[in-house]
Amino acid sequence: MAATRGMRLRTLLLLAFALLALLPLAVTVPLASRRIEETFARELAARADAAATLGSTELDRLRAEVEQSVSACAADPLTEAVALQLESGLPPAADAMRGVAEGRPLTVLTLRDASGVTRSSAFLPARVGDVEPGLSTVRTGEAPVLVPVEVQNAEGVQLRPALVAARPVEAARGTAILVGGQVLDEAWVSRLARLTAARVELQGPGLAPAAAGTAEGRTVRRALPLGPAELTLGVGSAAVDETRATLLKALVTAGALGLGLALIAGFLFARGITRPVEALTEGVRSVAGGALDTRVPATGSGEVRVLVDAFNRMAEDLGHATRALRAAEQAAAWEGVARSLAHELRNPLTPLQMSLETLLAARKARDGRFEALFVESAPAMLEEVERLRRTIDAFARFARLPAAQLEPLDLTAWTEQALGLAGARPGVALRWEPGPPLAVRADRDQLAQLLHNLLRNAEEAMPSGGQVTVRTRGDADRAVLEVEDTGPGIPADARARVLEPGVTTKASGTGLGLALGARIAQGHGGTLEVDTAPGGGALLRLRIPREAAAGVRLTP
Amino acid sequence: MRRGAILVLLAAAAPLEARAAARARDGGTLRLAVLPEVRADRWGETPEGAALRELVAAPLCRVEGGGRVQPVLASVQRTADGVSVVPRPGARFSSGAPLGTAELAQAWARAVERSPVARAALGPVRELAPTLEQQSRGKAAGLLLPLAHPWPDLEVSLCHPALAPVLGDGGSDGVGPYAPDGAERGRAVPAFPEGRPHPDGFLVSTLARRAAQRALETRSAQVLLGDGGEAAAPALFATYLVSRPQARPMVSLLETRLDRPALVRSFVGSPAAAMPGLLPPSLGGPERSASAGGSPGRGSGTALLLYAADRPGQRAVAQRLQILLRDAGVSLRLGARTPEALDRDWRAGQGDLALRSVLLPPVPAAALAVVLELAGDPGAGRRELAGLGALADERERAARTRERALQLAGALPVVPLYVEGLRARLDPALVDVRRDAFGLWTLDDAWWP
Amino acid sequence: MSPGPALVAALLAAAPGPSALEALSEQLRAQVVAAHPEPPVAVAVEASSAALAETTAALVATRLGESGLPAVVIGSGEDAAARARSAGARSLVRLRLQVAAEVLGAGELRSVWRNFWAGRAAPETGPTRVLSAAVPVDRATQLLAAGPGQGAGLVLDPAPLARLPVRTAALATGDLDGDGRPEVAVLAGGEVSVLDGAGSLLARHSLLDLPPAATPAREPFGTLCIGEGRLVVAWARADGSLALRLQGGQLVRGTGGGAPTLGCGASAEPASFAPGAARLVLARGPEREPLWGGDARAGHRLLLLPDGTARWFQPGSEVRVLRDVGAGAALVSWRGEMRVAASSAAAAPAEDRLRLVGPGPEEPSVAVPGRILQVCGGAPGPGPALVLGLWTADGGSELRVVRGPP
Repeated sequence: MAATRGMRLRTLLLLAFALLALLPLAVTVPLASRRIEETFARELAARADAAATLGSTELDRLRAEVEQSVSACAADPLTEAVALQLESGLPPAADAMRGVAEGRPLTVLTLRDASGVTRSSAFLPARVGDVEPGLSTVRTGEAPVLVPVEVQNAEGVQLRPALVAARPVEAARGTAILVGGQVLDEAWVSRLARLTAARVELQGPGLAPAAAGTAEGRTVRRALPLGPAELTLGVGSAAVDETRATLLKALVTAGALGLGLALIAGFLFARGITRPVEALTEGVRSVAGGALDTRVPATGSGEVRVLVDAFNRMAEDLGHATRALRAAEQAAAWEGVARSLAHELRNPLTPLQMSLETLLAARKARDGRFEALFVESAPAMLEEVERLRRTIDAFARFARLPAAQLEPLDLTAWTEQALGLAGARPGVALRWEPGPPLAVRADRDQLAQLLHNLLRNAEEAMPSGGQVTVRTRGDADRAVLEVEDTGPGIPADARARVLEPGVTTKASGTGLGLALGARIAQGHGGTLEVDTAPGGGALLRLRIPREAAAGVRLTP
Repeated sequence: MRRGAILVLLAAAAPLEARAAARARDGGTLRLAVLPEVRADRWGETPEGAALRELVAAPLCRVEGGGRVQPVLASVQRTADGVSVVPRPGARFSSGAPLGTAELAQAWARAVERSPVARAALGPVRELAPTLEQQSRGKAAGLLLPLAHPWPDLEVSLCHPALAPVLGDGGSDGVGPYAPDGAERGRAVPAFPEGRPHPDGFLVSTLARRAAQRALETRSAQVLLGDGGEAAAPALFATYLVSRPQARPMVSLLETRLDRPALVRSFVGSPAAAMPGLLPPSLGGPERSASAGGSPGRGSGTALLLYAADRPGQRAVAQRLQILLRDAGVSLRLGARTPEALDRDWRAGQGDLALRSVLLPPVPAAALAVVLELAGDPGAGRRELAGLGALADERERAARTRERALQLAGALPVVPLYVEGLRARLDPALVDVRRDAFGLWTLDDAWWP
Repeated sequence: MSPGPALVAALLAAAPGPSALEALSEQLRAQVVAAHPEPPVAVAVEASSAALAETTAALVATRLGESGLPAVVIGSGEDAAARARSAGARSLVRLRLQVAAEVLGAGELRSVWRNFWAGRAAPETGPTRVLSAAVPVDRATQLLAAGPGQGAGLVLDPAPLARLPVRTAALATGDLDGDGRPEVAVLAGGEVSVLDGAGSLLARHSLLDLPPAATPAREPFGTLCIGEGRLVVAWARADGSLALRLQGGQLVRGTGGGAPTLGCGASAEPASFAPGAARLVLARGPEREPLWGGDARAGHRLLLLPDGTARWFQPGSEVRVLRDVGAGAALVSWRGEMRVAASSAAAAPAEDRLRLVGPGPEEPSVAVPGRILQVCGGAPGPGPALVLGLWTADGGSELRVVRGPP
């Protein structure tokens, strides 16, 4: 209970320290995080604007390039020749413009006549003879405009947006118009995406959508006006998020580090406080367990030091008092023993004395019956002497009982084994009722002595036979060994003294058997109780502490 | 410049001197410049490829301008129930093996696998495969071809370049006036039955169009194959659009939008002509299509068109068809194939539409046989041809064929598109180069003073 | 690089006495050069005689070449522009000559070049320069203009006796069926055909089943002789020869045969075919060079040499060397005199000329539409007549009859 309280104190102290360390973090992190958030949002917007500016510049460059290339193509001698051929009414080769487009940054180049019919095309010769809806709307002289154009491959024909410009071929007096430009295809979109480091999406009604680049996380978009199509540049927050996350992580790491340091400091501090308290607790526990010479080292300071000193003084006093008490008890015990001894020795001495006086009187009277009397008295006198010797042996044993050598064993298994060795007197039935395995710490020899004494006691209580029942059982913290007989039982008034040395209810006996048993039980930290069995016989019950540790390997 | 001028002048002035050569002059190397697409035509399926290939793999016979069949490697004799093809003694493959009936049967068995023209030419033969199989092991003097029905035009069909005997699958071991000597050269074969050609050999250079034209101008080449040509020459290399039943709606959509003269003008180029009928104009087919009528409809769906990748005209036309179908709401995918793969894959059921170009035989009935082969219904084809073959009179047969061709035009899954002639130019100094009835130049006799 | 036109004109003017044609050519050259045409230049000249046209064209071309403009000569005609293009020329000089008191040359210079993009039906652009020049006529020019054979009395039958889709290899006339009238035998396309005087086919016989020659000749070549009711055939693509008889409307194989011969009948000289070439090699005698052919008849011998000359051996006279004689030449008995009927040695002409060379200086001649490869006398019909085997441009051939005045 005290240890738990000590732990609690320490935990409380630690919690207090942690709380102290966490409080500033809890206040600063959200604030800092919000500021970081705002800064990065501004950064993201700036990036999107920069991408839009780049995209816009690229479009302007593309327009200029298309304008320049188409004008150059319109003045190319080959174009003029094709246009003149067209003017003279002869169809040029469907792909005649391919030669003009060679080496120029154009992916659309078509020569159409005044009525808008494609007459030769560098990239879509299959359209020759038709009016291409997209290209025919482009007017000469305009800046490049975005129109949908057809792009053909083996998989089919797709509409793609293209920036195109139209220029009349001067040599043909306006009967031929050159339309050229660049398709804003996947490749262009990819290039723009690389250039602007943004996700670029190009969509328009009926157009095959083109997209490139990535924008992960929250995306900030900017749309660039591009005729019927829409060019969107999206900058993702992923990069910004990563930086922000790194910053936050650093912040949290710093907080965690502070917290850890606070906990260590708190632990050390709490330990400084609780260690003397714990030592004191331990000291109290030892003293309670009988170690009266226990002293708590005088550490700490202030109130704790005072408390420790007080405890040590108290323990010292307690020691003195206990020693005085024990001396008194021993004296009392020896008195009892001496009284018993005197009683035991006096009992045979009286008949001896009377017999010897009778014999001496007969010898002196030269009574003729001396011889017969001697023969009659001598055995009785010897028996009394033998009885004296036995009594003295029993007392000697009682006095010599050593301190118990405790070792772990299973009480039930040990009892079963011991009973097997013991056997029973004829006429007495031995009944064994084993309980569950009971882990105890005990001295085997003393326990065997105890069991022997209890059994002898029972047998002696039933001179005409009966039944002895031995059983083991356990309760919450004690192991119990019971020996029950079917004898006359022990009268209620004798029960209190029957465990004292020299007290017996039987005709013969030193009265030391049960006293010895009680001492052995005491040496094991247990008790020997005297009770009446339900059938009226005597019931002797040994209670010793159980070994709590489960998993201890038990031996019988 | 000055030196070049003098050289040319010497050449020009030479006739005035004693450069007597009323008979052909032997020696020299015939230099040919060919465009890459001609080179790619390994089996001589185009007119240009055939003209080139005939140098090393001559056909069995030649159909002269007037329609006369002139034996080259074999003569064809009529028997009671068919014909017997008798190889000329002395005809040998360039590998040295003599041309016998067994070799001829083997060569034809392979040609039939590869070429619709060969299948059509040998179509009237009764149980063709077993017949060829049986005779490819024999040693008979003549290859006997029993006919399932009368077929007076067989002799002309057998002169088709597609039936030129070739050993093995390489395509180069033929019986020709020249034997191949590497990929670009050939040397004259002294024992060729029609006589050793006048030059000692030929040399083929594969050049881009401009380079080839320049080579001809500067006389570093005497023959250019793949460019130029004469509009007046017979044009028999016909291109058809064949279709599967499920693609018929798309074909109908195309037909309302197709302007064949414009297609030829813009995408094929001369020498070529629109071919509104199943037979080309040079075989008496109609020159103008009946007015298509109806406004261009619209459809939907997707289809796969197979075409020969090595033929620029086919590619351009395939792309045009793709555009036309797109305008009609149909998405057309284009599958480029080699000619052999095109024939194989189409017969294996791939594709919904295909462009098929074939060099038609120069007589209407034999040409219609090829068209029926392309249509892919052997039973109906054979019934049709049996009816035509029963007419012994050539004129009557031709007239009836034209009539039937007009009637069949709508019913067959074959849409005629255009017909092309031989694209070739010659150095004017070359002598004795003639056209045969297929419109091909026969370069065998060529020489120059 | 090239001297200026004025300098060239001055140099030429300083030269002593140029002929009228040279002077005319020089004037035309100066005009052409001044127009800076794109080389090479094709020159086509039309004149009253082929000789005049050829000479003038060659002169103009030479002059242009000297001025740094490579030039080629092409034949005149409606399709001159196309032929100029085929010849690789980029410009065309087209002239018409008229010879009277002065030689008048007039015509045009035009570009014929088409760029590759122009398609295959480019427009014909008009002349970039009109050319015209005139110089006083001289004797040589008049001679050239007159042309050969005028009024020489040879007449070509307007219609061919027969037209063949293949080329003739040999030709013979003679009475094969014994009816007293000559038939015409022709070897062409691997078969021998016999025609009657009207050109109708009497019989034919294929030679394709003959054992092949080890080295066949490419050009159709062979010999045919009719005598004693037999037709002896030797074909340069077959090994050996055979004799045929006309029996019951069919040519049947007879006995005999043997080698090809130079000439027929009693005067025939044995010969053989040169390996792989359309040449005849005499088996005997000192002449061992391969010949285009020849004839032997009544003591005369005619050997046709591949250099375009012929040697005419006449009894009791020295060998006469004839120039410009082609492969189609034979000895013919003409109004009781032995003459040589000779084609020209021009290389594959579209139009040939047959002339009759006799002992005298006059050489009657006639233009024929094709290339003469075979000539033989004794043609059917009235009067002295020859049968010609002509190769036409379409790869076929014609049998034509040329007659003297009756």
